[in-house]
Order: sequence, then structure tokens, then C-alpha cells
Amino acid sequence: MPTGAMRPVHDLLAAIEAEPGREDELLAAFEADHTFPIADKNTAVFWYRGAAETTAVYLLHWVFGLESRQPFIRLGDTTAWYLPVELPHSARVEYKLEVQEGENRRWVRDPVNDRLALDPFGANSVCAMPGYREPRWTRPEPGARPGRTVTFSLQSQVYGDTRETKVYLPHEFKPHKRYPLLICHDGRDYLRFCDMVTVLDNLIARHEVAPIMVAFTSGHDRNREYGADPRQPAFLVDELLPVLRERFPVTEDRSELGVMGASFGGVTSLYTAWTRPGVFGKLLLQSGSFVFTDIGHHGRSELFDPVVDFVNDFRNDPSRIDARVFLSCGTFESLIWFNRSLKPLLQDAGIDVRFVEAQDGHNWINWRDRLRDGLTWLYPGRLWMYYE
Amino acid sequence: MLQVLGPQRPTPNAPACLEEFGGEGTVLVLTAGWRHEETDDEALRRHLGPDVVVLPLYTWFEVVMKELPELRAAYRARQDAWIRMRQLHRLRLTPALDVVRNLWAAGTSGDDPVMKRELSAAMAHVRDLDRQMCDHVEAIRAEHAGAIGAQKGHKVVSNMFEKARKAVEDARVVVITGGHVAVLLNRIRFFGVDEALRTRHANGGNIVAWSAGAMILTERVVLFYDDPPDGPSHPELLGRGLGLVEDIVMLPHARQRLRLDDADRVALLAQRMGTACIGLENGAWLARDGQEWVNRAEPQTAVRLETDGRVECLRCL
Repeated sequence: MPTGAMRPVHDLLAAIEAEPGREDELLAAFEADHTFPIADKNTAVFWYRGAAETTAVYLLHWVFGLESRQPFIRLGDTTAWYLPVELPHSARVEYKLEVQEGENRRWVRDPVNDRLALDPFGANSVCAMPGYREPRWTRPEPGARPGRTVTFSLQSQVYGDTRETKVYLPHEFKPHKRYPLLICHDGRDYLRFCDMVTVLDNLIARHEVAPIMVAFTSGHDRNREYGADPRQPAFLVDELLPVLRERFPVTEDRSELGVMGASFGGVTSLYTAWTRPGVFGKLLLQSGSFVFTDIGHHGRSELFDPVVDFVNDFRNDPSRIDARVFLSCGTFESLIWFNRSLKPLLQDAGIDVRFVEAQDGHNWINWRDRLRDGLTWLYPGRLWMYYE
Repeated sequence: MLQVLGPQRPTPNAPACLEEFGGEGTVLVLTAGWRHEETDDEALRRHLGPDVVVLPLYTWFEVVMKELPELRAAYRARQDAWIRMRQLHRLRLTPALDVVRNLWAAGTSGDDPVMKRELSAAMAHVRDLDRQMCDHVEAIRAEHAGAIGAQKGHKVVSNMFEKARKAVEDARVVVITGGHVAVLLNRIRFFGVDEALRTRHANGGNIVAWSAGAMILTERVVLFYDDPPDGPSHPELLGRGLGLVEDIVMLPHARQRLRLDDADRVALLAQRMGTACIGLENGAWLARDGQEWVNRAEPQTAVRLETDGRVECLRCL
């Protein structure tokens, strides 16, 4: 007798077999009574109600270590399909369904699950296991006084085009004071998919993070520009930073200057700190694509060629980094091994590093949920001193 | 008359408290703990009425630091010494607290005289370190008193001293708000407002304080937050307070900032302080009535941390 999340499915099948004439009614009642995927402590049961012509349903996900395309099981002779998947208690998984009808295959979001995660490619359905909690500080909190953003354009000689930067100024911003500065790669996406202004407003209002300015910059061809491309450090250090200093009260203290990014944004952040030592004192690297090889080819796309060359060089001489480093990565990412191995490497080089893992994948919500860990490590506020 | 209130958000009770102090004169408010927002008094006026006057100690201090570079340098040197001392002190305090925890974990049967003696000695060591913390803060203050004091004779500063003293003396009531507790205490001391408050208190003048303002009225100011983002921590002494309130440690936002459901942590803090540890929540209103403190609000708005790890609602003290 199945238990936990599979029990309702088993009971449903038994009920349909007992009263085949009530199949539609029982299926409708079942869907009305449950939220999907049905989850218990360690299992999620995915559900799909197909049409008569549906011949197969697959779960598509990006959990490294699990088969990435898993077939659903048909519920008896009905049009319903289900799939139990074992997942850790705090896991959060983004997914789509592949539905096959005859020769036609299409990818769809889960029609019985409203929970979505947006990303630059659209949206995925989300399975959040019972142990996952959306952090409170990701939503506007009462009493958090809002900062503001200022946008300016910069004519880049390095790239030969015009680039827009949006700068977050904390609520308490006073032009005569000087503030730490963090430059954020993929800025548009961090603003949109990580609600970074809300996150900053909340964490600064809580005094967990010091009042900082954050410059959000975005690439025009980011997979190339962020892939250990020497143009990006040149753009950041020789073009963007001087303008930021000119227009905003940026601290003179190098240790308070930071650079951050996710995925290839993490690569270019590390690459900048390594090729231009002495400029940035803080690195916030999320799910960095720090792929390296000990021997042979890396086996990934050609975009990784310069990345792997850089990471191999970096691993031979990590001490050129002169910064405090925060690293995070999802345990469902193939990049987890590369990120895990970075921590001891940096520590052995005498670099102050904090590494956080999460039961999540290579996605913006994972990066959003780790921002508190990263920002409080790099720019700690005076939490201990404030009693309001 | 002293009145101690809990945090004022979400529902302020300072207006009800101030209603009790009729008569003429200003409601002098010390908001230095708000730092840059010290003079944002719109909400204060809305809640406390038109007689509100902010004594701008934070702003004055910024002016003084800008105009007197020698004083700025002397002050900075003292701050640096304190920061360094705190870092070093932490290296001593953390293992001392671990010893107490380890002994507890090893068994705390009250009948075991051997364990009892070791525990008692371990706790005495922690208390000793706390005492040393306060002493060393004062020692550094004394070491830098000459350099800082010499600069305080400057006319700019002495005028501010006099203005502050007079404002405290003339006010119908003095209100001390929350905010950055070290900045608040520091600015109050810098402009001699501590002495003015002591005089006012000795003469029976009205003083109302909440959150950080309440913390600094006591003999010892304890910094606390059990679950900071970078992992669990333990309370630390900031140093001595103004000493207008004896034998109490004030802990505003205790429910949010302390793990009150962890009996060992509660017991450790209460035993370590060796005095009444009082948690203040929104709505709390402690009024001094003779030798006794009475909670004039609902009992659950203030709690007492007991040495056996219990947390009891406070009616009086």
C-alpha cells in the first residue's frame, strides 16, 4: 500500500476501478482536492490530465544527477498521467512537461500548477518541496523605506556602442557621503527576476546590509562578452567605473568595491578581479560557470573554450585575487562540482571565502534566494547596533 | 520620573505616555540614534504633538568633526582602539562561553558538587570577562580623554554643550528614541547630555525612553541578536550605560532578536548578566513606582528572562 504523496493517487485509481462510469467525476474531484505536484517529505507526484490522443508525457527538468526527461505513468486506462519523483525535503525544482500526441510533441507549463518562475526565456513551472520557504525579504516588507534608481547611458569605446547602467541608491543616500559600490552583471535580469531593488530595500532597512550603491549593467552579447572576454574588464574598469566615480559618491576604499554575477556573469566577475587585481575588493559569484579540465576537452559548447582556458590559468595562480569572495551554487547544477572545488582552492590561497549550497538549480530564484547570504557576508550592516 | 517603553512600531504608545505629562514647555527629543535622519521629525510631531523639539546631537557632531580636524583625529583614534579591543575581547569571550555550554552538555545535575563548582567557576569567568569589557572601554576612554577633552574647549563645542544642557533642563519631558545604540550613547556623552540627564533625573524630571533609548539608561548596555545572517551568535557588552536605571538589562525586540524558546540560551544570558533581563516588545510601558517597576501595559508586552531558562510575562519588578 503506497503511503505519503502517492497514497491519494493509489486511492483514486482504486475508486475509478470500482466505479468506471464515474471516471470523469472522480478525476475532476481529485484535481479540485489537491495542489500539484502533491508533495510529502521526500516525494513529489507530478500530474497531467491529457486528451484521448495523448500517447506519452515527460517531465523535463534541469536537475543534474537525475534523468532529465522522465516518462509519466498512465493512471489505469484513464486520460490522467502521474510521475512520482524522489526529491530532497527543501528542494525547489523548475520544470516543464513534454506532451506527445501522435507524432506531435510540445513543451508546456504544468496546467495544474500555478506556481511559476520567470526567466529571460519565459517561465517554468515550479515544484517547491515542503521544506522550501520563500524568504520574507524577497517581498516588500512593511517599514522598509525604498531606495531609488538613476539610469544613465555610456558610450563605450571598448564595445563600440552605447550601454545603459541603472544605479540603485539607498533610501538614506546623501550626496555628500561616500558609499560602497557593487557592480552587478546581467543587471536587467537581476532587477527583473530577483527583485533586487526590493531585496536591497529590505536588507538595508533591516540593517543586515550596509547602505550600498549597486550599478546594474547588462551585456549586449553576454555569452561572449562574459565568457572570459578581455573587453569586459576593460569596459568595467576603464569606462564604467570612472563614470560611476564621477557621477556618484563612490567610496575611495577599494575593499568596499565589489563585482557580482551569476553563471557567465560569475565568470566575468572572477576574470575581472584576476586580470585587474587591486580594483575590486569583493566578489559575489553565483553558480559561476567555472568549468576546468585536468586533461582533454571540456565537452561543452565552444562558448566555454575561453572560459576553460581562463579557469585553468586561474587555478594555477588563484592568489592574484585580492578580494573577499562569496560563492553559491545549487546542488542540482552540473556546476556544483566546479564551485565546490573552488572553495578550498581560494582558501589555500589565503582568500576569505564563504560558500553556500542550496537544493535548487541554475535559475534566478536560486540566485535571488542566496542574495541575503552573499550581501550580508560582503557588506554587513550594523544589525547588532540598531534597536528601533 | 522614568518611563521605559517598548519599540514604537507598529503601534506607538509614546503619545499615551506623554499625555500624562501636562504643563508648559518643550518635549525635547534625542534622536541621535537615527543618525542621518535625526531631524526627520514629522512622525514625531504627528504622534507627540507640536511641542516637539529635536536636540540635533548627531548633526552637531558632524559639524564639529568637519570644523575641528584635530578633534576628528583624536576621536577616530579612540574609535579604532575600541574596535580593536572588541575584536580581541571576542577572542577571549567566545571560548569562555563555549566552556559553560560544554559543561552544561556534560550534565547539569544540581546535586553533583564537582560539576557545580566547575560550572560556577566557568560562569564567574564569563562574568569577569564582561566586567573587563566595561572596564577596558572606560580605560580607552580615559586614555583618550586628554586629546579629546582639549578640543572640546573650542567655542563651537562649548556653545553646543551649553545649549544642550539648557534644553534638557527646561524641557517638560525628555524623550530618548531608539536607533543605533552606540551612536546615541556616544553623542549624548560627547555633548555632556549624560550629566544633564542625571541632574534632571535626580531632580525628579520626566524622562521617557524606548528601544535603544531604554538600553542606554541602564548600567550595562548589552548588544544581542541570536540569529544574524552569518550564523548564531552570542550577546556582547557594549559598555556602561548612563546608569539611571539600576540592576536591569533592557532587551528591546527580544522575541525577534533572541531565541526565547531555547531554554539554554535564555538561562545562559540571565545567569551571565546576574541581574534582571527584561525583554521589551511593542506596547510595553514600564513606569518606576517607588523602588518598583510596574508594567502598565498588557503583561505579555514585557518579559523577564529567568536563570532557569523560562521566560515570564512581566507585571512588576
